[in-house]
Amino acid sequence: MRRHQIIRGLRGVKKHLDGILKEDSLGVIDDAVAYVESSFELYSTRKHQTHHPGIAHTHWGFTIPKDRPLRFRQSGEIKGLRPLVDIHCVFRWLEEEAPPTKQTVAIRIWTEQLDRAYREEWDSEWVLGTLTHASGQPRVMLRFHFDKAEAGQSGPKYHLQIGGNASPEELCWHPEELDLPRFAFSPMDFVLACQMIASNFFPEYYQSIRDYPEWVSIVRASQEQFLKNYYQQCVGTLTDDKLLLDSLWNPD
Amino acid sequence: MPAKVVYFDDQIDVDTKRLVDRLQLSGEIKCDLVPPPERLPDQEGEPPDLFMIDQDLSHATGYAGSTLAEHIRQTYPDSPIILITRRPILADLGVQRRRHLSESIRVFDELILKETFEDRLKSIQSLVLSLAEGYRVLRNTQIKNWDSLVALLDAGDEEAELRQVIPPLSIEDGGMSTWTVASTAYWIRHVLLQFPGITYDSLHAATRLGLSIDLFWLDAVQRVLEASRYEGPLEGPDPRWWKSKLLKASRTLALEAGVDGPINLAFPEALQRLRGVDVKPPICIWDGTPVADRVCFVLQKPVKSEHSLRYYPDNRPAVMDAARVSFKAVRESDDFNPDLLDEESLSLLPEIEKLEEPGEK
Repeated sequence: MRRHQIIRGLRGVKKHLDGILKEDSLGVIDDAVAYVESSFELYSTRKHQTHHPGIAHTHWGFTIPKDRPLRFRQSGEIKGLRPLVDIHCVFRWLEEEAPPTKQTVAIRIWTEQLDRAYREEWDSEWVLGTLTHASGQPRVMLRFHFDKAEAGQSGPKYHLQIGGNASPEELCWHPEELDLPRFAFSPMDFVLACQMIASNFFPEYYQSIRDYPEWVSIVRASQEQFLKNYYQQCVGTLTDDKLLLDSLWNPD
Repeated sequence: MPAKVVYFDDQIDVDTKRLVDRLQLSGEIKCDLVPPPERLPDQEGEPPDLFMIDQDLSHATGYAGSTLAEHIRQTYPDSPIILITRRPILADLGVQRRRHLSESIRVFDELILKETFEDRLKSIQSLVLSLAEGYRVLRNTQIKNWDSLVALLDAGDEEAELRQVIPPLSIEDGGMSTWTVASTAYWIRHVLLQFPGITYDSLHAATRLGLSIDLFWLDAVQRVLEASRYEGPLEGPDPRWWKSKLLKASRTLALEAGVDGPINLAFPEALQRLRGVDVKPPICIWDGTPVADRVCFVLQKPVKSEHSLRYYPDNRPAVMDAARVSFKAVRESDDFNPDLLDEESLSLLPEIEKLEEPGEK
């Protein structure tokens, strides 16, 4: 994906979703834009050099770190719940026209409501103590990981994991030793992930911006780059009457 | 060649002559003190580089300085104007006329109190030179559209955000929008450089990058950031930096150091690793601990987001950084105005008043 398209997508999210993003998240996107520009320049000047240490010359892209994610505002009440959603991601490219070499998007759904975060029948007193130690301590209720498999990793090349690696402070109750299944899923980029969050958690807001030509253009660019080949492969496999999951499996 | 200033004052006495002498002290300004004309002048000849006008012209004329300023702006629309007054004159104007004067900032470029000349001489000299030179650049550039403005400002990286700010157009008769030197100058000074968001002053820049203000000014740090400095027209005595260029320069150093993470943590670590800088993060004005990530609008000190509230002190465009006010200012400052909070923040005031002082915990 071309660098300017990535920057356009990041800025498009900032511009069009600013009504549902937390105030500090606008700075998160500025940082991501700077990350793309800096890493691309370093990569372009150093890709043929071998003497530079560090990570800059091996690829370019951007990171929205887990400890400073893109946070959405508290959504309206959904069946008594007022969830908080955030997203963090890592994208790396080599050539501009090629798919990303690394592609990880994580979406977390939190709650600050103690009556929802703490389940008396299930949770220990330690959980309760942690939740009440600091007022408004949130707890992750659910997390999704949209990944591109690493080389040699068993599973679909593009997959969705529900759960994923939890930080201790999230108080996630999924047993850590259980290897999470990887569901075959279409490649997810930053813009598409934000669109998914907006449409699910802020439906009225999403309705108000979904037809803006600038927004449509940004989403279409992401679809073109991330989804078109994937779905063409799916349709081709089904047309040829072959097994879809096998065709989507990460090669050994 | 010194900047030519014409100063209209009806009292050409020792004090006024002294003021002119002080202004000319550095040799960079040539100031002619002249009495105001009995009739408002028609356009004749080349204007000076800047007009200075005393607001109180009552001893010699039947009009006020702001009236003369308005006339000069119409006659010489591409020349900067500074209005000079004294505090008692301003006080005598009454609320309505004071408000009118402050809202007439588009008629003149700056209002200066005579009483402040001694203390602020350097910054006033710098302002005069900046206005004279800035207007000259804008006159010569003949800005006709965004592209020429972006090129003049050297704002390549910032163009996308600049386009989200109200353009510096004047509405002329017939509803046509035109680019004028005065409206562009106003926009650069009172929008682009005034509000943090597209450009930053040193305090906002330092805080954004996770540095104390002292550390920010270290040569080793400034060398990394020097290409981010705003060098367009009308830069005042306090320097500004382009936000995008700051973030890019700091991220580049972080990547070179192999440090990832939020820029206000990654950049200081990179400075330490690659430049040997002894890192000092910004300290929060409320709890006295690092890392503060915002600036309190009232106290002009770093503060953590969680120890501050959203504040609405001015008419900054939405693309600029939102203002914050610290809990400390809320509790202790006479300059804090609760009318400038939103409803959600207002509802938190009783809780903030009840909070323990951080040191007492």
